[in-house]
Amino acid sequence: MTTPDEEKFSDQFGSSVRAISDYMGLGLQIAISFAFFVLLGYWADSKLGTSPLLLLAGVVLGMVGMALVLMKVVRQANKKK
Amino acid sequence: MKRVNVIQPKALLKVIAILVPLLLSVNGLVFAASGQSSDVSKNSAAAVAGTAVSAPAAEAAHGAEATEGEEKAGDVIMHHILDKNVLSFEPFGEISLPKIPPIAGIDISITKHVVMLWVVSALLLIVFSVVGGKYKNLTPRNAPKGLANAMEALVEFIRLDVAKSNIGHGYEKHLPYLLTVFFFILFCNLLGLIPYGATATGNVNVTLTLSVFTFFVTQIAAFKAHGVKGYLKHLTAGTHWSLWIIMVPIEIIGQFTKPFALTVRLFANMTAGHIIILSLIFISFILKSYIVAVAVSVPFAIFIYLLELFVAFLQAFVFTMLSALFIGLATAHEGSDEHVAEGAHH
Repeated sequence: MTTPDEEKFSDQFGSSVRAISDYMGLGLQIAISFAFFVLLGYWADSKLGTSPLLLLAGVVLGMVGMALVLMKVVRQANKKK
Repeated sequence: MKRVNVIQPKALLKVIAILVPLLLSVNGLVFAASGQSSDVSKNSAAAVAGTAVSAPAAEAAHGAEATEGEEKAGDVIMHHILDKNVLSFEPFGEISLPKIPPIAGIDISITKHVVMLWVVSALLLIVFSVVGGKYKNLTPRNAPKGLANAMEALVEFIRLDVAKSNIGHGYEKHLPYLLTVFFFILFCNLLGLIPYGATATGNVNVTLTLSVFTFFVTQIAAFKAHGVKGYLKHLTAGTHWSLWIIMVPIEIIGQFTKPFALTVRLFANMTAGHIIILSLIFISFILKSYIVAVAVSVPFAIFIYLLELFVAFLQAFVFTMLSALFIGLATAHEGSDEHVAEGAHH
């Protein structure tokens, strides 16, 4: 048996949880995607023997990726308003 | 309603009047003991002082003893937390579990946590077949009582506040998974808090398996809601095609970070609580003092234990709620909530 108030509360709770959900995995996603490109560059360097070049390329790619993730989040937040 | 005065000053005074002399006398005993031991150590030091060489040796021996004691506490804690091959019923002996030779390099022998998983599965089967049986011969005129009522409260909570509010339309399809995961984690967590029990959710393999289930459920729900084309389009996150080479790996990684966070959250919460309780108890053994045991170890350990009871429910709820949230996000179309209902109709 739920009163209308409780029903409303659970709806509000759900919507607020959904609202924060965009930002919950953000830190881990940014960190891991940056590390992914850097480590990929490092691994490719050790395979091909082009020592700092691919690592630096990985760093650049990772930074662009971080910016892209942030842009995506900001665009979604703008769309919701 | 009549207000009842819960705190009665007279009773409190009586308790204090009993406790304070007790504590003081214990303290006196401890001081006496330490005084004696210090006397003894002084004497021995005086006796030893003649031979200059043996004094550092004694110190070294003392230091070694101290570190040995600390190692022992750490060993006992790790022994308690980690998985092992025996079920120990401390004063009554132990049962050693069978070892199965590894298949394809993977050790699949039965361990303490595996037994706990079986116990939890059996408990779930028993509890819910009893509860389900009670509902079968229930008329609209009478309400369920006892266990059935308690389980109904939890099931309704998961149905309304977790599944319905997070997934929205078409939540009934995912309800069996969410309810199973909730009660499984809850029973695992609670079994770790009873004597001779072990926390299966304090093992990273168990939590990883659970979140892999959530991962597959989420991905399948996303495929069903969007189709293959929509799913692949979601991976590009609406960026220009020249940036896809960067964006697609990041989005794929993003699919894996969520279940990974679920894994670590449950595992760390269940392990940390047990380590804290054991550490608090071992403080009194390391310091060898009754007053620390009475004033610090036991009250704080009981407090953390009660907190752990709460955390057992909380973490089961959090895992279920985040699973429901991920399913809801995967089935929802980009943007606002209005699309959720439409997505369910497609």
